[in-house]
Amino acid sequence: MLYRYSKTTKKNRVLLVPIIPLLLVAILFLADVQMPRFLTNAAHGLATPLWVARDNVAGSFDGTVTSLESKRSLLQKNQQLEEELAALRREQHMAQILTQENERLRTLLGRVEDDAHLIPVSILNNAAFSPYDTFVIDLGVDDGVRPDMLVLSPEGTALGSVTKVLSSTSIVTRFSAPSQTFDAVLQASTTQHISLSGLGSGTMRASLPRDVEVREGDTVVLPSFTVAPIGLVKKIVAAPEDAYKILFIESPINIYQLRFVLLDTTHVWQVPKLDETDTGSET
Amino acid sequence: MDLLPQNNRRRTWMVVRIVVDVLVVGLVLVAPWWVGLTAAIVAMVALDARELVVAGVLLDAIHSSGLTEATKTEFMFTIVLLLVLSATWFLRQRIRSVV
Repeated sequence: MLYRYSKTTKKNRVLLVPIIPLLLVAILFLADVQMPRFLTNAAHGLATPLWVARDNVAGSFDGTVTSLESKRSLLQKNQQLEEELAALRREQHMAQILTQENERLRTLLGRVEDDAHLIPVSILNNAAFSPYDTFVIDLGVDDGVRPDMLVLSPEGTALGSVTKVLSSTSIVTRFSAPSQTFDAVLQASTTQHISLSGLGSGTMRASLPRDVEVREGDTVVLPSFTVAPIGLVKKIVAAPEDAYKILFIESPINIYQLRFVLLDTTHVWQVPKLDETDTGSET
Repeated sequence: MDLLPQNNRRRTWMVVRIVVDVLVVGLVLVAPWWVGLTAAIVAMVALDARELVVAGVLLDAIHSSGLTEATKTEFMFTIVLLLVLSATWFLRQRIRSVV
């Protein structure tokens, strides 16, 4: 009798092993459970020293590899970099001229805005380490960071917005995150409002009517007066039977190589969703 | 000479498991997400390390930034590891009954 009792109890207890996880999965899916803030804070607190150490080790390793390269390859690389630098200087000069012209035109239109207050922030854990297309920055609510603040690359390309603010760190979600859908402006031969949806890893997708003229390399910007580019049209797919063509837009910034970004503390990023019927309408 | 060799074996097994747990948690914190997740799944299947569900919670706590349309949950990795835990149990039962 005692033997049968203990055997049944043991069997019931063993059955709990697969049942409890399945119950937990059901609860997590159905109850929309949110991650407790203290847990994220604790995880970031635990991980931050390790991330800093990892970046330091990776930096010193890069230096060691460079010093082991042959003299010939270093000379070649140096020449290539000098050429790139000269090209970039020319581009920078052109950009300065265009910026001055833009400011002059804004003044003429009477639309002078205060300069955005940009704070340089360090990336602790970049998007390569995250499946949600997010990255962690080293400022939090204690430093004045608020949700929806815009995050830009050092060159001024919009990368994403702050989605979760913790005490000393914040999580930034990129515009290309798979769940993101937002409005943007395509600067092609004519200006078009488009609805972008993220595909992950810096790639976004939009659809436009076939007859709208778009070329690869056209710029997509945020729909605000402080025009910050999001990406460039990388590929256009137009099947003969479709009334729409699909644009694949890619961010020109390689987030995996970035160590610092700029946080715009004067602008928050909350874009009203564009109606399906408005997609592709000319402005 | 140890009179209870099974105690020694159990102790060694425990040490191995703790070392593996620490390694997996380290990978979750430092390496890209797919490395940490793979290591956690392998350790759960090979060593029956149920405690590594914590690695999933840690991954979600570090990276997730709110409920999203794509994932519908902030606990994507926790769910994956919980499902792996259940699947491993079922597989073990099947293999035991066959053997």
